[in-house]
Amino acid sequence: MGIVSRGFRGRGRGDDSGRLPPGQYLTDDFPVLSAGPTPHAPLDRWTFTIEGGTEPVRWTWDEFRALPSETVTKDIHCVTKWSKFDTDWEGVSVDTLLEHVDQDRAYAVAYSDGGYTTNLPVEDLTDGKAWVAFAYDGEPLDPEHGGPARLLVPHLYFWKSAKWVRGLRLVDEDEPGFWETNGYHNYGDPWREQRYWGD
Amino acid sequence: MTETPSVRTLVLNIPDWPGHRAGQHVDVRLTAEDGYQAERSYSIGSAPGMPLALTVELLKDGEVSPYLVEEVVPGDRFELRGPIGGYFVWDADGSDEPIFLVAGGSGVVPLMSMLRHRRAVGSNVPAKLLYSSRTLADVIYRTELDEIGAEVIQTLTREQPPGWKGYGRRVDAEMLGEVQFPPEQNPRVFVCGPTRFVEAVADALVGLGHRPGRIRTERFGGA
Amino acid sequence: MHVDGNAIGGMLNHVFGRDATDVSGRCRECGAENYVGALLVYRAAGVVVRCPSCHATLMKLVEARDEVWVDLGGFLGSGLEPLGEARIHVVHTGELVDGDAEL
Repeated sequence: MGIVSRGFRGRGRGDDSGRLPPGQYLTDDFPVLSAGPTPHAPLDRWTFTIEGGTEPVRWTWDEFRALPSETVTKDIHCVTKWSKFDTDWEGVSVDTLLEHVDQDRAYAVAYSDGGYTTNLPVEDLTDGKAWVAFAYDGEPLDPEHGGPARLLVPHLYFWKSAKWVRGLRLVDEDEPGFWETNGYHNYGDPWREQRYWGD
Repeated sequence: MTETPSVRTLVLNIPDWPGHRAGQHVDVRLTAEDGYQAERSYSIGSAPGMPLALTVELLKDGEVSPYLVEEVVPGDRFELRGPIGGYFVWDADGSDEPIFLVAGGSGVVPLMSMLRHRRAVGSNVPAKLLYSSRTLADVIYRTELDEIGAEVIQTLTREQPPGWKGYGRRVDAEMLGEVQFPPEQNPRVFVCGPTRFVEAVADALVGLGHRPGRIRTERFGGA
Repeated sequence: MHVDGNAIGGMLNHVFGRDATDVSGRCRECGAENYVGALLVYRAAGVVVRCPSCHATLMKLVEARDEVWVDLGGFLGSGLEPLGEARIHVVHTGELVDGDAEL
């Protein structure tokens, strides 16, 4: 730890509820952290695709929005140490999307406009653990925060919740993504503090 | 030292300070009692050879700047590393190329180090500073700029006092065209301030005929 | 909001053992040549350094406790070599004197 600066208090605070994973600080705002410029995909050309099943399945924006969606309230945890409780999202459950896909793969790679990728086991995307979210706090998801749609996987560090998501590639062998190939942990469980490679 | 209601210059005593070049910055790291750490970069305002002085602007939603501007008192200690930077620097090295400095808000800090350096060594290099601020009360180093020995052109974008003789709008290509050293004089240009300001100014200067390689930029981020 | 290579100058000093902002290189994607100080820098989970012309990823840097993971693959011809051995992070401790010191 560095020398303590008298009287300095960070914006983040601790929390005793047991909801804050180790090493995290609680925040009330919603910091914007982006790996690149905000893409602006026109909705009439936006598609979401799942590949790796017997055949690719693709939805246009209108088709995607016609799918059943749900609102969920979740705590989210960024690897840069801020956490935010009780965030409200609306999205299509990945379970709903996968119902349309004939597949039996172990891993997925989520890919986004702008080239970002992140990898997860398929079982971390199913059974109510993941959504493709299009609204935050009752409003359409802001482009800065990943709109029109982002992946939402709240049980893992938030770098897995890929902004500007455009699809999933389902594969038999794990393929580490943008950060997983550059020092971040391959899985990213905040409760085991799996921030970096080797944790 | 208080520069404006929201800007403060901190003079620091660092026993093993190696000295710095005009335009460089330091990274300040603060640690709270619970171990929380925050790190930010601040430009050095003092001239090379003088003690390290950082001029810090209080950002409304800032995490570090409120502490540095409102809380720290003489005797307080905090960690920093530096000096940092070899790209956005100007040395009075005997070359006679004019320097055109364009500052948005607290972007004036590293450029002030350059002008103080130029004055301290008695350089005759032609120098101009175009400095954009919101109001007169926001102008940093106000009285010293009158005596800095370079041409200082100011624009106040939000509000101008009665009788104001400077510009009264955001920096644009027309203003730059009126103020600049023309490209034929091959000036070195340094632009510093919020990201949007820097990019708009740099683009406009390229549009006016300055070669991109003659323009050096330092972006401070921003909303 | 992005900044530029100047903002990561300290981190680059640590990784390369020298100032890197004044080093120039080429974008692997579009060939644009720029000084590191002029490259665009995005702070996300880690640091992403991008080409100002085409936004391709030139470098990625992650500070993972006391290691730094550096991918320089998108930035060609710079001659930058990360330090191989264990690095000492030089941190100066500065004491505020303030006052009306003559500058």
